[in-house]
Amino acid sequence: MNCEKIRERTADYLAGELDEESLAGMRAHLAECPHCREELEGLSVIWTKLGVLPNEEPSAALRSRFYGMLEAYKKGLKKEGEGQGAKRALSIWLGRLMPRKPAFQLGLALILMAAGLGSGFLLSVRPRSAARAEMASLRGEMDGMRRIVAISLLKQASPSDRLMGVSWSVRIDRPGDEIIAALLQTLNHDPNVNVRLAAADALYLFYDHPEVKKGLIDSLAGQTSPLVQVSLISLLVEIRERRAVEALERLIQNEKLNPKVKKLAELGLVQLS
Amino acid sequence: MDPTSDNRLMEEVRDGKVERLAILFERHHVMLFNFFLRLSGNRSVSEDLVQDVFFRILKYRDTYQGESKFAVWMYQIARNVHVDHLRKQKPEVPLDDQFEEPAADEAPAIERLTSEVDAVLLKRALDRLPLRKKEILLLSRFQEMKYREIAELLGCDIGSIKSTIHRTIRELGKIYLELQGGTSP
Amino acid sequence: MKTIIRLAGIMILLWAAGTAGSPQESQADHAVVNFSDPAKPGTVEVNISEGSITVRGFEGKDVIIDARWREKVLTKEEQEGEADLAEAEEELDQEEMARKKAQAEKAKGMKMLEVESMGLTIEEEENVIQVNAEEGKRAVDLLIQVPFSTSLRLSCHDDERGVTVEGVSGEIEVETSDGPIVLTNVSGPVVADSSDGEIKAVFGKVTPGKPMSFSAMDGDIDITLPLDVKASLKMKTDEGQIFTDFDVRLTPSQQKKEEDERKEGGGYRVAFEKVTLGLINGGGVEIQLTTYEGNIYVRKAK
Repeated sequence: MNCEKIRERTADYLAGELDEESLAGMRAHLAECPHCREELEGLSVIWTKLGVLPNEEPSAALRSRFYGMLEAYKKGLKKEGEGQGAKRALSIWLGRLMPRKPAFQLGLALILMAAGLGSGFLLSVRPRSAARAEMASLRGEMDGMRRIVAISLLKQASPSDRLMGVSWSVRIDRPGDEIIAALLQTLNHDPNVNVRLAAADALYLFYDHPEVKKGLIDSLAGQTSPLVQVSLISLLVEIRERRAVEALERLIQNEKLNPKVKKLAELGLVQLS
Repeated sequence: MDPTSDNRLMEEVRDGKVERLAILFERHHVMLFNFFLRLSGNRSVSEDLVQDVFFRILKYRDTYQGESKFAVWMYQIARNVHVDHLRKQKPEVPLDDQFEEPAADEAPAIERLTSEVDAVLLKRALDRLPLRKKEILLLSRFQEMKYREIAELLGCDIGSIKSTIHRTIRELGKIYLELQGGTSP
Repeated sequence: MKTIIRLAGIMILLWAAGTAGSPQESQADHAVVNFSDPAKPGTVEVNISEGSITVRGFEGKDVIIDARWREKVLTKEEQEGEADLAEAEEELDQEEMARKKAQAEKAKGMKMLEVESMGLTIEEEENVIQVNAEEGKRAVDLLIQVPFSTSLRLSCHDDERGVTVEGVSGEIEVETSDGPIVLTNVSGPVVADSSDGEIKAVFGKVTPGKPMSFSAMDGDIDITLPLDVKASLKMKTDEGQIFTDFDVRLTPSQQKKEEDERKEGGGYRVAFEKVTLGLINGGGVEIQLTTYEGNIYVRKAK
């Protein structure tokens, strides 16, 4: 291999796309040619440095603008379907939301802000009464999207993504059976303690859903992490779930139980009886 | 086919399940944002451009054919969106000669580590690359496209993409060294 | 393409001589592993029971693993126990005999390396490197050098030395039972938990948009964040205290569910999450901190 060929293969080398043969040929040449070696090293350094350039995060407004646009588009489609001057209806809806600073209606902005995370994490939604009916239908559609996002995130390999999935599911106004099942599944089977804890906290907020109370009680027996056990015991006591008494008694009898958890369980029994 | 793959999702969007676009948005918007940010240096412009891309994806969803990868199609749209933006700004300057001035209101990062100083200098060096070279570099190094895909996207042969990468990295290295030496403003 | 490397450690020779009181020498092993695609960030997963894990980021494309085996001094009883076990293994059944015979055939003309089960298995597949300690009697101290942008998944049980990570900017998932977790110059996201150890993390910067979570049963959680960080903290502790030198805007928990059963003769009840929520610099990255007995410290980087 000569210097010319090395230059031709540089791009592939940097991208890690060279096959064994070319790689070997390259290494052989580099061993003898200090000029190519130096050049390639210099290029590799820059390539690596580029790789560690951090990614920036857009503002929360970007997400709300996207979801706002998607909503409007869907509405436009529906109007199309209902035969209301097809294309015109669509373009009116799209037109309304496309200027750089979208002019949102009343409480729409609040709902859409809450759809994102970041500072929206702690935001509460208080729509004004005038727009309530529209809010309700919009919320339903928002829920649909949040559900898709949450379920998808809960399946990711990265525990941080799964934590985000739990966060998204908490923001769903009316979680259906699918979300509750996904959260219970996460509580019982996620390999990461932190994610299970987050799932327990999320389920607590939905405790009026029929499956949740039983799910929390049943989960206790299968948990091995003392942190999750502590969390579940506290939650069950908090929602005053009498049916948990049996589960607590069984837990206390487990010899391997962490003594602190045992103490808490005993306290819990007292409070529930 | 993997039901959650980008291609599959976009096909569903094309066929009417428009809400599936939300997943594609969640997957790609940060990378898209950074692509535009590295091209323009301006955060709010970059956000606008991301929004434009998804708007066009919706508008032209029936034209999606799924022959190329979704990402390739999306970045085609992204480049078009960027080009239209540039044309609006300086219609008289030929595109290849256009540089975007990074916005002056960007708050300077607090530099604590050498790697942070490196990053700032490298970003500045990136800004000085001519548009086409920068695009090809970004698509390869950051949007992680294969050279073959970039060639498809830009409509040229793969050999010229590879040699452009070589020249671009070399040029970038030179600018970066100059900045490190403090010989450039 | 899967690559498998086995580090054997030539301990057995030393162990056999150990009964005669030979000096404590720990054997070191060294391996360099490539990622399938070095241009893309990779993941390193380590799973050991006895031992410690130290990971350092460096400017390179490969992963360099150094393993130092700790010589374990066996008591007389344990030595006898080992001898008994060795004897029991001599009683092989028919199937075993057949297998050994076939193996002998295949190995004709070659030397057998004494590889007793005290080694590490290292496998690489699609940019994920897995390092597992085989169920053995030796504790191992691992020093692993990885490219800066690598993501880590580390698990270490039954040992007081715990896990240390320095200068790695990928996602970090760590779990220990006894040992401390010490992370320095990381940018996250970090998801960490420990049953008995404490967790300490110093962030050089924080990756926006990716939630983090720290949980400790017994120990303290001590994190240091850059002073311009935008974070939303969610802190829960049963018996510990929370300290911070940030200007945290505390908000009452918004996550409440109201239940009005007054019509049915029940009561009016409001359920709150028992958490302390706080915003730093307006809020941003979600960080959850949970302890049982330990304290929570959230520090400003100086």
